[in-house]
Amino acid sequence: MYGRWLGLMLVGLLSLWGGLGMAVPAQAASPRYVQAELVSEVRTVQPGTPFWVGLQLQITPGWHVYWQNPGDSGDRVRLNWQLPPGVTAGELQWPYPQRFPVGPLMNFGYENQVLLLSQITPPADLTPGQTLDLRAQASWLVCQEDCIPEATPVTLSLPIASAAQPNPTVTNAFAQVRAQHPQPAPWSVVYGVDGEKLTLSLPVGGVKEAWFFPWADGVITYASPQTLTSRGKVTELTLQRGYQEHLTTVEGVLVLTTQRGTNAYTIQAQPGTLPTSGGMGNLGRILGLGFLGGLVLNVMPCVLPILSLKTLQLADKMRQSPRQVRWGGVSYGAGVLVSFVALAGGLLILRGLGQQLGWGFQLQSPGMVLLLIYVLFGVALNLSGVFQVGTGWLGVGQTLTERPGYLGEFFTGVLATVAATPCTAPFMATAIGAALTLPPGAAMAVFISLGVGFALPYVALCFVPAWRRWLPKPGAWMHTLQRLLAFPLYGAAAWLLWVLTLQTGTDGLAVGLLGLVLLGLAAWVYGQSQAQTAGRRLAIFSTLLILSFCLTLPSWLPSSNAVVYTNTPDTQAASWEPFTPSRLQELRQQGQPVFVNFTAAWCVSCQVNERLVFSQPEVQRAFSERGVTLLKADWTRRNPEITQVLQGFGRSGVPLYVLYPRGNQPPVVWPSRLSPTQVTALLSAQLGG
Amino acid sequence: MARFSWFVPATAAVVIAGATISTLTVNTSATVRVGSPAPNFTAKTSTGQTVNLSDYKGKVVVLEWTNHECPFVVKHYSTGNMQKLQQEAKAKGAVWFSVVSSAPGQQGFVTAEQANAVVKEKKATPTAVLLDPDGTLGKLYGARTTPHMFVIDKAGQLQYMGAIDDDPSLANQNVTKANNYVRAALGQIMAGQKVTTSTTQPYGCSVKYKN
Repeated sequence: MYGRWLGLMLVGLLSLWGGLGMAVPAQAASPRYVQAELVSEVRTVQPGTPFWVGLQLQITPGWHVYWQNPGDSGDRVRLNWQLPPGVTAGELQWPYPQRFPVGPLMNFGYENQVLLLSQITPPADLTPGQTLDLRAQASWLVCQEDCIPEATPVTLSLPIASAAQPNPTVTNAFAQVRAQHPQPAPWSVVYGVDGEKLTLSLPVGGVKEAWFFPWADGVITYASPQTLTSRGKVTELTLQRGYQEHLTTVEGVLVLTTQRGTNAYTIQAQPGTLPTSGGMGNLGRILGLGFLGGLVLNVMPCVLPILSLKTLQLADKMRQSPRQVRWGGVSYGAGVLVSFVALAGGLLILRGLGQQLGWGFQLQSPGMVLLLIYVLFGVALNLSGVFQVGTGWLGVGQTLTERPGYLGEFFTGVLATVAATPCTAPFMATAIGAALTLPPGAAMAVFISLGVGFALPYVALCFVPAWRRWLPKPGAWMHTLQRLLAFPLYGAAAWLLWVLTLQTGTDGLAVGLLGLVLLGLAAWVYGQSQAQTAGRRLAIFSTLLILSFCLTLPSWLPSSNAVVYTNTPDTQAASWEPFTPSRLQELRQQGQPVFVNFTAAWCVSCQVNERLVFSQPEVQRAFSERGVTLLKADWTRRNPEITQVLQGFGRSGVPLYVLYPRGNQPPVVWPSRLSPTQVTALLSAQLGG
Repeated sequence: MARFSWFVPATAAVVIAGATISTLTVNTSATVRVGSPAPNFTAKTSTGQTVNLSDYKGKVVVLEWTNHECPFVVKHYSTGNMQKLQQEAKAKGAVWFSVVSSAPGQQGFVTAEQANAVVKEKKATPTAVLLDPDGTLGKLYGARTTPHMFVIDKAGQLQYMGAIDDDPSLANQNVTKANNYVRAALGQIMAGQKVTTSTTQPYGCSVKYKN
């Protein structure tokens, strides 16, 4: 009560000021009902490495502040950054809100306390030892029955160091609020309209409580009851429609309470009826897609050279006992599966720690790209015959892929998986995208099914001797083919070197090339030592010395992202604008059609489409004739904003092509494999003309 | 006879008001939409008259939900922004009703005399201030905030509903820079054009209805 009167007095004072026509520089009062503070997840900032900070609001009991859509009245919490040059801040991350009835109206917001996270990206050229000063103006409307606008500057000074140090005092708070961030729904939601009723249907059973919080105004009447009906594996939530006459996609946050607790999901409901398959059926479909994706991965250009060699050696292995061949196949399969599990585990753990990552994340780190270049180059040198691997003079002529023994088979599996990572096969994108929204156990199952699909063709060849009869007879030609197959690998290494250049500039390229020269030297020294018996120890010693020096090279890489991804010369550079969520929103508000190309330099299929489709004059013309603004979302380096948009479409990797038609029509996702004629056909179907 | 002349219209008004209120209660579930007929209403003004929306067919009508103690309303009155818009609308021949739906005891509630005093003090020029202490009119239109604006065309169709402009802040200096949706809608309606931005999310204090 006391608070309310104070509030009234403040409002009265404000109106008095206003009434007297005095210049009031900032109409918002300094905080009285809310204490605001900036907290950081790191104690020290590492130059170039993004980190999370949070705006912590302590709210007087009985009062509340507002969510991104405040409901019938109110205004969201705002944070206006004043950052040092080169520092950028991501959008605020909103935990799901609570409902606050106000008479016949309804508001969405938070009481007692709330933590709103934002990701800060510092530039790479910060000097360790100095401090990074973050400043922002935080403002909010705090309400009980009456509302008080408040504002305050918030600051945070963090020491800059060569490594980021976590801040253990906020670990719990950050983890708690992240658990309340809505995740993209792993199932699709549909809606139906019946008069003034809007019903959302979702393939989830056992829902005890459900609330829908729309992003846009006028979709539903906020204060009306939300009626929950459960029919086995299907849940329906019936809402009262709002003033919007035509609904397209119904978007917002759905908060579900089941036996396992309360979870929030972002949904994009399309009009329609629910397919009959339930939640598990959906998982089955995702597992199936993963398996198919794994199968297709075998013929991707990064993997094919290694696997075709391996397959040909199988023919050679006719003389081995069937049992040996079978166990060899099993070892290879184990190598593949262990690598997939390790990769998936790493990805899931990092995501659990709140990193915005997706498939291909390994390639967003220049250090990893450099190591992959070394691996591919090393294997290629081996195929070229510069050196042999294995049992030395006993096994002269052996190559890495035909290394005898089950351990060798196992590492071929690992190598194949590592080489496969840059290639995203069709089906895989959908499966992995869906997997990352599932609980960790189910997500792991999807990765394992991918691995099974990937390993299966070779393992099956090992197990069914009859199939091996189809393989060509071994002979001297295999030696030639081996030399020849080194070149796709050189090509892959060269391509990754280009990716590295885009990520780190010419300095990074210099480091990479230096590494390749040294690696060549090491391979040659080692190869020489294999040809003679004298001086072997010295040769191995110097090889190891050079190799360990090569391994330190990634730390020399300039970690700057000062290099802006420029379009390849054959694309008309002017036609693509860089993507930001705000630019997209702006264009959509102007009612313009927008095409967004989610791409990355390290994504092969993206590059193929850029060259063969998007840079074609007829495709460019088809876009410009219809007034489509082209936005390029470059995911070559980590970018949480793009990751979030990808997640919104249930994806966690590139390529993704989305056409946002004119007006408020829902976005359309295009296939990942495109041809120029297909693009023109899609454009005329979706935009006319 | 003199008594009768007072009694008949008064009885008629009570009957009409009663009938309207009963229809209103039935209508509250229907959502008001742009492009549909604006629901008819009868309301009492602060000068003691009774107005009926259907009497204004052929004129453009602006409904402005207000609460003189709400800081967002204060922003538009202390800067003269709302008064200017009222003058412009009336110069174009539009009718302007300021509606007060604050319940007794709530922020912004005014008696007829207080309402007139506020109008005088602010140098406001609405056609009339409509007193809606039981919130019937507010709920009929789904009025949620102060200010919340509605523009009805000459045929009685609702053509605009939502915020007054695109700046939900409390910064006085922004009112002239903001894109005023009501001014734009009035201009387009008067010119016989379709209103480009016909619905927006209103901002401001919640309407202080009876709890």
